[in-house]
Amino acid sequence: MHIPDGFISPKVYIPAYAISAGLWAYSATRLKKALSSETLPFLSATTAFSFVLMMVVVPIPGGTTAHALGIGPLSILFGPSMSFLCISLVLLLQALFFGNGGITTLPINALAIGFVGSYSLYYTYRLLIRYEKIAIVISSILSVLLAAVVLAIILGIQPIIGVDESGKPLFFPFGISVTIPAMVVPHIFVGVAEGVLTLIAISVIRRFDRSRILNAKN
Amino acid sequence: MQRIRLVIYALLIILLTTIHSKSLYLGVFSILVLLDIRFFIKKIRFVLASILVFNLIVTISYAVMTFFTSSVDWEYIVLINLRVLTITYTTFYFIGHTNLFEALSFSKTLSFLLTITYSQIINFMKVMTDIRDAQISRQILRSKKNYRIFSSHIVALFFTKSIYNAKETSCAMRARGVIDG
Repeated sequence: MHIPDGFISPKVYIPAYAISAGLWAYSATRLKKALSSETLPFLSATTAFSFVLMMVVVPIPGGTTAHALGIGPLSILFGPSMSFLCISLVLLLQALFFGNGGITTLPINALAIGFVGSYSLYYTYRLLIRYEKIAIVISSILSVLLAAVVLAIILGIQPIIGVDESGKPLFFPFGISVTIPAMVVPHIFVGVAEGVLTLIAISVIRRFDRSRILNAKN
Repeated sequence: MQRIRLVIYALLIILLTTIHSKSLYLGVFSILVLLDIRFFIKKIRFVLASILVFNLIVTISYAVMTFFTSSVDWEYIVLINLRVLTITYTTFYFIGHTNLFEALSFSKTLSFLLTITYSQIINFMKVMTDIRDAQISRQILRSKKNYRIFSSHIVALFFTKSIYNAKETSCAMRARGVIDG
């Protein structure tokens, strides 16, 4: 799902950095309040797990890749603002150390995967919490699909805003009519896989220590 | 010093996405190659591995599309591939010459989280390689069923291991007074 460097216009990534910076600052303040020697290692372990899930990538025709996101455990167990910050951290590490994603596309990937993904997952989960297992699967599918739609729209508007005098594309060349089906259809399957993985991850992590996680979330 | 490098890197990246000139990309790429020619082969392999799939898909899809609509737009294909190559090479050059942990140490909380998460990631990657090697060495035939069992167990194992690591880190941090609580 990550977009690499060079395909996004500065007209998009510079405002995205401005928006993300505000959201990162807000999330960092919340993180600072919640963090202790008990919760920091738990949070970092879940973040690292998310990284492992994101590293398994499959190319999709139409220009991008698909992989599980690992936002479910972070968002459900630690809340959406911490999840957003941790996913952003994972994306930064992937872009800088492992060549996956990019530094110009970091805020876009962070807003789509980290922000839209985490918040949509968390609130859908809360809405359906009476049937928890179903809630986890449905919220995971929805979060993956929404993140994919946001990325598809951002990629798809590049031929409109990033063109030269003759109208030729300078950044990503395909419009929304190509990017939306190319991104959304494969991510239906990714969403189901994400749901199952989240279900397993949450049951395993809860078996260890529920109180520390709840402390971090509150 | 590290933060100054971070700022220079950020400005260079903005420049590379603002000016659409093949000669600029070639110039920056050549300078970076000359600056540490000893590591060129190692770096270019890593750069190509990380951009090849995405760029190939975009390039081929676009070439096919323009072939059927008008004529293949080689100008765009060369420009986009050169730009992606130069930006990615710049990023790896920057990483090779900058202490990222120091550059991002403006927030103590973020710095802790970054350091611990990175150490866990390295740990996970090592465990993943060990498990894969162990699995290959213990089976005679590769089968899809074996792979499915392996995949489902690996999720549980990673989390179990991460929780134990987390508990160890927690004790170590408290003992050394890194954080209170």
